[in-house]
Amino acid sequence: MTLIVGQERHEGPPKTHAFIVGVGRYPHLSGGGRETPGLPPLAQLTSPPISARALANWLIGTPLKHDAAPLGSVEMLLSDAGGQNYDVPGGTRIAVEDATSERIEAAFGRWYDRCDAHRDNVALFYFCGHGVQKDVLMLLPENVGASSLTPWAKAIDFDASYRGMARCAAETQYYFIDACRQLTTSMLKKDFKGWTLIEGDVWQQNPRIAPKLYATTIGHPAFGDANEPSRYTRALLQALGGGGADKQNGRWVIDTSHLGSAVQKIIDRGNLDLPHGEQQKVVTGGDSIGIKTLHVLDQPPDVLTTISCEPPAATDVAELYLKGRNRQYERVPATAGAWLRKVEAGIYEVAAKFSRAEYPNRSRPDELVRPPECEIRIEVAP
Amino acid sequence: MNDLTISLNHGERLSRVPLVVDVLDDDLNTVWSGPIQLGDSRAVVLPRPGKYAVQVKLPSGQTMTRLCDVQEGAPASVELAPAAGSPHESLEWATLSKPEALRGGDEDQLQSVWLRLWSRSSTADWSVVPWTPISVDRDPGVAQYTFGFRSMQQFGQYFLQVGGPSMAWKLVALPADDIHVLITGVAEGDGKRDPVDMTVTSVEHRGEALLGYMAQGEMEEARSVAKALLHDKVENPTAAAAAAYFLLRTGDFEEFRRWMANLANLMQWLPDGSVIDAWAILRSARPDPVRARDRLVEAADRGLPVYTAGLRLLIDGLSLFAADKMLKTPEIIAALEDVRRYGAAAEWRARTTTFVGSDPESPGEDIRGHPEDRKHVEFLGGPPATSASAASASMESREARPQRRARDRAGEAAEASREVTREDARQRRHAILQNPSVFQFSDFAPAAGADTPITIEPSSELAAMVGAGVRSAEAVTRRLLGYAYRQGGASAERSSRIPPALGKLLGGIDLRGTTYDALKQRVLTSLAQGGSGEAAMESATGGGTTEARAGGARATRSGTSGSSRPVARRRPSRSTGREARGASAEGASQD
Repeated sequence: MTLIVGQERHEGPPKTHAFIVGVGRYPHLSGGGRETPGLPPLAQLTSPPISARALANWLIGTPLKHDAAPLGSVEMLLSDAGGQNYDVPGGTRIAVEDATSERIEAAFGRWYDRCDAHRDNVALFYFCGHGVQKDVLMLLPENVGASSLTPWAKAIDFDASYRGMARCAAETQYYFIDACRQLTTSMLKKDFKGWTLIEGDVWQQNPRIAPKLYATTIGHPAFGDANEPSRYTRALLQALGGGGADKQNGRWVIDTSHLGSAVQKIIDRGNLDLPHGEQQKVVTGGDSIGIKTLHVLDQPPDVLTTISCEPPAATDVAELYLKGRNRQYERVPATAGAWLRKVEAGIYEVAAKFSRAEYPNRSRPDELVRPPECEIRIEVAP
Repeated sequence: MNDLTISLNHGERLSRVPLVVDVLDDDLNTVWSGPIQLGDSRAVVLPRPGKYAVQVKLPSGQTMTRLCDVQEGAPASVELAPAAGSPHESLEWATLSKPEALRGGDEDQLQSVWLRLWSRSSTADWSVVPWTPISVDRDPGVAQYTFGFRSMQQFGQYFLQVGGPSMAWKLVALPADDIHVLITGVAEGDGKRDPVDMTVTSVEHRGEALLGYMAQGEMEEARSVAKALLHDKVENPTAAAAAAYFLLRTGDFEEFRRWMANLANLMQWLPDGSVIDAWAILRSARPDPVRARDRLVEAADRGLPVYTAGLRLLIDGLSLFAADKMLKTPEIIAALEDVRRYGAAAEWRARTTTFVGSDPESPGEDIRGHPEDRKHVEFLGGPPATSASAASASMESREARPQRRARDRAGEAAEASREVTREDARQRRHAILQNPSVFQFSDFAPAAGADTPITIEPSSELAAMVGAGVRSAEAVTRRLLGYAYRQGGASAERSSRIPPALGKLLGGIDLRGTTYDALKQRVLTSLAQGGSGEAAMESATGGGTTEARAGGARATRSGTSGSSRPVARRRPSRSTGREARGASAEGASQD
């Protein structure tokens, strides 16, 4: 089963239809047990199915709030060495089908038909797993390398598939690609082609808002800790949860224009604590025609905020205060290191107080705390 | 009335760059949003007195915020200086778009590279031209060259080539504009990156600001900037192309259709115009796929788009038509095959078209070291003393560099005497390259033991040999010349046997043991027997050498020549327990 929420066919008013694939088990790649000789040593992964489940949990459990296109269906495929079960939030346990190329093709077809049924539908496409990039991005399903004669035949040509989706009537499409975009040494000399989920049609170039959000830039890896959601998916969920919110007409909304840049900024912030070789650069792309709402928040978003003093040594001995119209926060007593906490979006007075005369007390009346993240530095040099 | 006047100070050199400004109330509702140009002021009418935040969003993704209290009936003002803080006037643009460049760079890394400029002639030939920036700004680890292509009316196609002992030669498209090229030495860190980072930006920086917003995914901000650019009459074709790419992405281009067509019709040196118009035709309310297809073929004929966005659209468009049974043509297939060679070697994250290659026609050829011929080459660390590390030189470790420099100094005296002879040969090669209508391979092989030298006249004999029109002959000649040029004092001078590498240049044919003379004779014999020129070439070489596009518009190299060797990247290692989804797994094992 791949349809974990919703009906097989789209009926009625517009809805959001999600297609989620998380591939961690690759039997024909390194450590898979049925390795195909000659393929690059791509490893088994644990993070993708966990990441895929995390996104599904967010969509179903939050739930996604979209006045014009509420959640209609979630189609999911997993290849998980730890088991294929998925516990639907507030529901039952489902055995999810493997993410082989054949099953992806079939599930994609069903998802496409639902999306294509109404021009105001929202199509969400998410893939987490191995990816390789030459002149096109190839997404690797579970059974890539099944044939040693045509090892790449099962790989999905994402670029061609994206072009093909211009045929789809759904005017809002969002593509989240959580995969590496590197090239293996063994592939340098080969002209490899995969298959496309949907062929393009010159005569069907429907207008669409169709941003693509890649976990990494071309030539670089995307990272995930073992047995944890990937870094990109964590950032995506943080952005969907409020980090990508913008206040429009009195409501905090996540839209197609701000989500990508928010994920970029969240990842960039995380890069500061990482060695260069493990840094990740999220990039955007795709066709986009204006702004479309994806999700509306019930309450103001919390903004991950870092407060510190300049010089940095003063931070360790400072009592720190944030005073807003609705909320107040304090770090008392002083604690070593910068103060990192979630703060409700708003305008705050920020203050640093010192029990010793080493530094003067300082306050600033107006500090803007706005998604996705905020950094406040208080100058306290005597 | 509650008026708030927002002023953005212009820089010493930067002005009229539109930046996106948001005005938020104390509940973070956006009460006004729009572009304001550097050097301009904008009066905003606010709904009520109170506290407001003015936030300038920079193309780099950073923001600059000022808060103010607006009193009933008392006009308020906020002044911001987004372009302030640059050590040089000419680096002001970096405060907006690349603030990290202002922190300087690694001087050792910077000094390890060389640069040269390629230009495409009216006959579609590429050649290295004099290195003539109009100014240079130099700081530790940072070099900025300024070129004045537009102000000097030198419209055309240009590539900057950069290389060094530890980086594959790379070509970066330069817009025929007044531009800055910023080169920053990259601290070695894990040693897995190129030694320098390169940024190309227009001096007036208006189009780049737009591209910066696009790269940040700030599409709504970019939209307002694009319209500000277009309504201000874009006189700069490359800035216009940047705006047009944005409009294509937004689909909001109907009112600019004629203007897009003009970009393609009037700026033939800018292939981006044809790509843009092709997609505009395809995405317009009344699409005309046949016209769109012809525009794409036209774009491929004109060269490579300056912007990476254009290369992507060109490949996507050609792929779309190549898959359509009704609209597919031999020209589409040939163009797609040709452009894909660049796609496979391209650095897709770069803003302007960038690819690894030995020259603009050889994408994917991974060469390190420095060119044998130093004419017009700008060495950032000064010219190397010997030619030992030229072209074919392998990667040199950082640890070995000081020892090499010491050896170089010791060998300078001996080298000086050899240099006279080498300079003589170089001058002759250069003279031939300047006038390649007739040349002899003997010019490149004066050494004793050479077989009987042959003469090839590109405009006649070689044209007959190839039989696909003069342009094709020129292409072959250019490759022969280019090869000999690059090989310099190496094999071409020592032997008249055609090195296997030349076979690769000509399309993957096997020329082992073949002399230039023998090749010529085999071709002429085949011709005398009545074969077509193209077939004769194939017959003579045992495989496809060049393939002429239908209509004889131009020759393309067959897919095996360099196209199958895209950018070779080294992959970062992974820490224990961290997964990378893709080739990095291989990188981990290799590293």
